[in-house]
Amino acid sequence: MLPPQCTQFSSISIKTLRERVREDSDFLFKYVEEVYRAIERYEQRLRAYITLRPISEVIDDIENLVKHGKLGPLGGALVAVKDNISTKGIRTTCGSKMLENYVPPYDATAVSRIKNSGGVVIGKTNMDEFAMGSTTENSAFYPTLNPWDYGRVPGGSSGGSAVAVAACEATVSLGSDTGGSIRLPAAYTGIVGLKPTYGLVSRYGLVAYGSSLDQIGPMGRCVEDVAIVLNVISGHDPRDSTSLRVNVENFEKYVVDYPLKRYRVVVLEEMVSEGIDEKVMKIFNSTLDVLAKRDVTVEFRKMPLLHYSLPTYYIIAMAEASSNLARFDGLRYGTRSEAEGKLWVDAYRKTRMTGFGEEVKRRILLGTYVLSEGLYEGYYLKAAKVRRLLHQEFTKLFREYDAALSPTSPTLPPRLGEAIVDPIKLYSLDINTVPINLAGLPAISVPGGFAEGLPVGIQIFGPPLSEGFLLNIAKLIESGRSG
Amino acid sequence: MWLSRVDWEKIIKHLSILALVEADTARIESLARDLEKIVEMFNKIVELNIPEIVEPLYTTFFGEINLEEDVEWESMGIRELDPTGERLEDGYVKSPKTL
Repeated sequence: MLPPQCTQFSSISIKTLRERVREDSDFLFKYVEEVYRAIERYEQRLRAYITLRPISEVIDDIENLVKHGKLGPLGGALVAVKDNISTKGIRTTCGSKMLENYVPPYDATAVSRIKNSGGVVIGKTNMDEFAMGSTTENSAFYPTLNPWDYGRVPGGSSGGSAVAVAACEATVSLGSDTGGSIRLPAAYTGIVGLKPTYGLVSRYGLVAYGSSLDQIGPMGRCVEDVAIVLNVISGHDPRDSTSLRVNVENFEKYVVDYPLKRYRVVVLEEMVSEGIDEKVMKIFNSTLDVLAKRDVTVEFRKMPLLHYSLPTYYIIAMAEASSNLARFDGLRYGTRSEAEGKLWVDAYRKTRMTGFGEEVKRRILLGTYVLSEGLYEGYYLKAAKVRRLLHQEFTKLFREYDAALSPTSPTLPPRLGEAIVDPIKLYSLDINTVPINLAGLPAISVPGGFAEGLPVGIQIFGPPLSEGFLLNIAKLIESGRSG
Repeated sequence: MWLSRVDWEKIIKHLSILALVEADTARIESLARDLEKIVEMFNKIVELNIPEIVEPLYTTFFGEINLEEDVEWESMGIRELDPTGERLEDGYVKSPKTL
């Protein structure tokens, strides 16, 4: 099911786009016009983009691809890119006043791979400032709205990337996920979003938030589109020291409407108990029924350590953020404020005071707090030890099971302003997504159904490099839902 | 350790100096309230009893770290750095005055 902003034409998949272009070479240009019509009509309300490229530039790029026979696996797909992923010559703000006028002189590896595979960057999408947030209300520019209900948030921090795809203002998009920032907005907007295994996709050109947790990943309207983009962006990159040296599989071959093996999946009770909305649980249970009909064995297990994953995640993420964001000083690049004092430190502090928003400052201060002398052992070191134990528990779990399932979010998309006023309420939206980043595992959010006219996402996660099987299980849910 | 609101306000002032992030004085009270709540959430793990032997985990990357040899590259041309030439003066890029 698609939101009202989409037409049958604007919502086509990459595969259909490729097929139609083979029959009619003008099809691609008509498609671009259709997408820009949707943008013209709805973007003023939705505000998915921070920077949108003019249609003439996009058409020029497509003409070039067609002329040189380089439509490749993406077939001229229009790719929206989260605004913390560097794009050569296109402003990359991170949703922050600090980088309001920053134009990178290079492309992130994921972006150059998109361009080399027949994708065209259509624009840069709105996000919570420096990816710190779960609603896209923390953007320094404006909030992005949920296409299913303009009074609700689209999730975050990759909210713009999710809305651009959900509202058919792009074919697919790239997001980044530090603690759920791809999966949560995918769930709230009714699309598919995948967070790859840590190291599968290069982080070169991604503005760092929590370096040991960050990953770039694809978002699309169907499982197949996500697999196609993952094929393109994954693989070793010598420019990222934490890039895995693995042979990348063809993920498309996993997107089939039958189980590729007799799956054993597990539901962790802690992920379906505390604070889960009844309406979300109803959809989750119906998804388990869909899988049971496809001979998937579902079992329930406990993992009490999950109760500690939220504080563990936020301690580590904020500590890493306080270090990563130290580079934004107004001296090397970014916004610079004139200081009244005579010391460089006054200019530095003033720049950071005016350039960063409240949530970013809060996280930098807390990151500094947990790393302070006398507190480091009790907070940061302890969190790193809990992370070790969580990692060990997941390793043990996935010796027995192929994958695990949970609702992506415990609630339906909150109303605008509802979650942002209380930091604990805001952070709790990530309760089911953060353990996956702590353990470096792959995870996908796929639409499971609708409650009160709002989409509900199902999260599937598994052992490292199990993206193929996760895509297969996601496809079973996708076709079970539409069938 | 329990800290009062006044303690938190003092801590925020100290952290602002360390992190070089000046907190908005008008919002310091609400910031103190938020930080107090968040640290209360953090304290959940402080109470957790973990054996000394457990090693901390800082990264989930278990591949071979790819540290490339240093390679000399041709430097980025001034025109690439400033394509419009707006910030050029005598062939150099002029940076804005700070102090």
